[in-house]
Amino acid sequence: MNKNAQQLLKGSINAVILKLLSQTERMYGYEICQKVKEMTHGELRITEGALYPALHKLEGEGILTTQTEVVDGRARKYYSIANDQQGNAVDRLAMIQNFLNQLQLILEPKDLISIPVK
Amino acid sequence: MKITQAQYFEIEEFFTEKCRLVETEFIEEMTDHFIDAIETKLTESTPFDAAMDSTIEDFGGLGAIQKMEWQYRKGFVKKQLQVLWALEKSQFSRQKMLRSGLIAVSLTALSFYISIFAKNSPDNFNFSNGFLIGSAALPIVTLPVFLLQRYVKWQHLFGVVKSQMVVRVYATFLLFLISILLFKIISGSEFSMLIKTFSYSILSTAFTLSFISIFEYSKTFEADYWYRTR
Repeated sequence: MNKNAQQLLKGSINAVILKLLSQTERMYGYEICQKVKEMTHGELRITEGALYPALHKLEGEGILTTQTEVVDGRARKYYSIANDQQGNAVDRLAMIQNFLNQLQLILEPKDLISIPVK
Repeated sequence: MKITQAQYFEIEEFFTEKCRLVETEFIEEMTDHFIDAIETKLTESTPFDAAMDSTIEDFGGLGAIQKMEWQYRKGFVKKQLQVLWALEKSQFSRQKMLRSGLIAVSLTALSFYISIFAKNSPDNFNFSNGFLIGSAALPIVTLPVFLLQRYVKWQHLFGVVKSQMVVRVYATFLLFLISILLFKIISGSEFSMLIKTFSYSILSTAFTLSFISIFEYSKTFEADYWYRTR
């Protein structure tokens, strides 16, 4: 996978988590990693070292709530967007979407092509 | 393909013995992730040891996992403080109102009794000073033990200190500190006896309810750890 794409994904990890959790009732860490891989046909991969700190931070901020269940004899921690934070999550996603739109305006492919080669 | 019991213990041992992680919830979450990742790799005919090494590599190595535990603690402590505050507020909820009311009435009566029949004596101040110094020992000892347990091997012989314990010890100490300081401020003030007595009763009620909240927190989140540290 492209390293630059990996860096960009790292910066947008909260958006990815919130988007996935807004579509599904609840997910656990490994499931989130696999879902991103599946959605991007293996092109992008969330590293575990970036995913869990982001999940724990969002949990600490009260945006995510957790629920632990015993699955196959071991504890599994599920994350979901807190009921009172649904609006906040939507706002965050809208903000990121807006940022990406602005970025796209700046980085139009035709402009990139016209970069003079020295 | 499912992992065996021995392989499960190997994963658990990696976290507790090699990484020296101590936060139960974090270890459980990592173990669950490792098992899923390794089982997927086993179905692709990768041997267990190679699957294990590759999963550790996915996390960025042993050091990265240890760093993640610290990051986990930040969010965890924040959440625990919110829980503690919610428990504090719950003392005024309908279910606990009767108990809180009885505590307030009893302590008000006691404050009046002490004011009328057992006037303040310098011994009270000596006792509170001694108590404060004594209770300060616990947070002073807890913090280095908590911070150094990953590096000082023999500490594990005595058990481990988890974030819940640090939250409880510091919350209790702060409660004692604030209460004793306020007690001294009221004692040294020029207020009339009646106002002083009411202030004492409010202070002691707030202290007692806060202490109950900390106890309830400990009962819920430390469960086994209150008596057992391993």
